[in-house]
Amino acid sequence: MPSNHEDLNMMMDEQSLIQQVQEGNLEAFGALMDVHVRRLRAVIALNAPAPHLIDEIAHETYVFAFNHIQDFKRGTAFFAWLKSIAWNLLRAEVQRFSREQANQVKYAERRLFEVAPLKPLEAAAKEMDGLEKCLEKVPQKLKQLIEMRYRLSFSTQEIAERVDQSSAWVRTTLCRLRRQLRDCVQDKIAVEKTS
Amino acid sequence: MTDKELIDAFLAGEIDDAGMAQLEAELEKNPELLHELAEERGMDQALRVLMGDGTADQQVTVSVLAVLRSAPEDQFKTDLLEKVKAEDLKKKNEEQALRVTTAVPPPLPGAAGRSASRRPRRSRSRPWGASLREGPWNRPPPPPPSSSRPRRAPRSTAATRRSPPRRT
Repeated sequence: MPSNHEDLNMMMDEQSLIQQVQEGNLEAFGALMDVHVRRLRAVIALNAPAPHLIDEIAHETYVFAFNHIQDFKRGTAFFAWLKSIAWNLLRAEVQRFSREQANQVKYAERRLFEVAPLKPLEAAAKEMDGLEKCLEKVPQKLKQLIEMRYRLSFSTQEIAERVDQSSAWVRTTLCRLRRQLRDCVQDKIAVEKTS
Repeated sequence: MTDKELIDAFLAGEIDDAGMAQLEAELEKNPELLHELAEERGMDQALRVLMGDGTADQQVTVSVLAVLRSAPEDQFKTDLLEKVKAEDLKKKNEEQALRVTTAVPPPLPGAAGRSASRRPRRSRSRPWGASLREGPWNRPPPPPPSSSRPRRAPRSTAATRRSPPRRT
């Protein structure tokens, strides 16, 4: 359920968009996609064993959602519905990969597919919520590293030059940072469970 | 390189062949590292999406809308093709049925040799050189006449034509 007035307004907007889509309005579906596309891609990204799957699965999720929009019950959570579609598509894709392409990729990539479908859907969704909150807590100096790697797409060498450190330091620090973020997310999930 | 450096280089797409070989050897030895790598990849990809500038988001939206907009047109084409195929099949079936009703029944096995519908033997076509050689000017002499008819003198040769017959 929405927690405050703003969320309630957003949900009302969403429900009205869904109604328009169910009446056949494609432009309304475009607006609906804009609301969720980033979060949906992030949830997929947290669980996709290969980067190319993120946009592929997001695309297929939306096409499926539009084609089955009459099955969606208005008043329920649209994003949760999208996530479950994405989850099923991702699982099918991982199975297809292990059948068809397992021998065509490098060892490390293949092994990543083998351990991919481990997390349940709910855990993945909660991880996403937790990650956004944990990112806000990262100290400014370390946040710079994240910005340079993920927003500005700098190479490790470029980052090292800018922060006046070695490449090895940048790599190790980014690795530790991601680990800390994961721990922070797990802590948040654990707290939610107990409360 | 340490495990952390290897993982980061792998995720950033900056790992070289030697590094990849090292990482694979480590993954083979240490199954925990594989799970660590899987978790790291998930976090790395999620950060890339969350911190990105929105271009990729927009691309997904645009591509989905493009597909959905073209869907009715594709459906129309598919329906039309199906309709044409169905009509074609119906026409063929009708033609087949017509052929069956007007067809002559096949001959009995024993009467196969006496069938009236036997095709006449076709003469072989021969090369033009051969037909020239066998033209009327090069045809063999006709067969000898029957005994009841008077015999004709043999045709004169060139030598006999030049010297007239002697008078006696």
